[in-house]
Amino acid sequence: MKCQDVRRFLYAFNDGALEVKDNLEILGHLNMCPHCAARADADQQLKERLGKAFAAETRPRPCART
Amino acid sequence: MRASKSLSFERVAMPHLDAVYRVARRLADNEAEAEDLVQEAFLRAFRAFDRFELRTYGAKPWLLRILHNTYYTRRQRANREPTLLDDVDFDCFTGELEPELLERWPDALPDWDAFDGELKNAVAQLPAEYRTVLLLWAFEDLSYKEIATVCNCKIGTVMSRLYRARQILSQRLAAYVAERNLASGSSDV
Repeated sequence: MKCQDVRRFLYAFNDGALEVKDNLEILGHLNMCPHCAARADADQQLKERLGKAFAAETRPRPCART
Repeated sequence: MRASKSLSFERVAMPHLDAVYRVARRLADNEAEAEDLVQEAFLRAFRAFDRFELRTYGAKPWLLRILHNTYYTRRQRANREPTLLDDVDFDCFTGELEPELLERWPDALPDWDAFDGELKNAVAQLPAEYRTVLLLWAFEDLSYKEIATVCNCKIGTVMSRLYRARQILSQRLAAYVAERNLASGSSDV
């Protein structure tokens, strides 16, 4: 699999949305290609950071009566 | 009977109030509008509780779908309907990606703490249809299938919107890294 083919499916790979066979092909490529592996890491970190950036956001509670 | 319905609704729906609010807050322009959206969505949900669908997935996708519908109904009323992409099939999803789209990813990882504000701005500036799938994917951790159910669109559409949303954020990230030279040294791998 070439880099360009891998990059088409990289998001789906990170999201666990590919068949096992395709997963293995991409995993094989990532083990050999540090550039694509760095892109996969960057995307995973983006999702993680998105979750953290907004995780603390909760619905405003009504003010307590004084 | 009514008391029983209220209790049952409270038990099923209320644990997801914050999750629904988080999505509403990113869709709405301000806190008040988000609160209003959530209230209307929960009111609709309560009225429709007897016909509660999506039992397979649980209450959260059901509530988010109602929120999504409430939001888009309001936008249509306000004549601000977003421009939607044409639906695409899962099979042809990858065929429509421009080659240069695949080359825009930054290799280097940024200083994430410094990037949080920029990330929030970038999310706020996404087109509404991209923002919705991104919210459901990143914050609520829904699967493509669940997102498709919530947004009432095809899985291929979810994938293409998610792909573009991630690409847009990646481009913003790359520009931010380049401007501030925040690369952590991983660009040489």
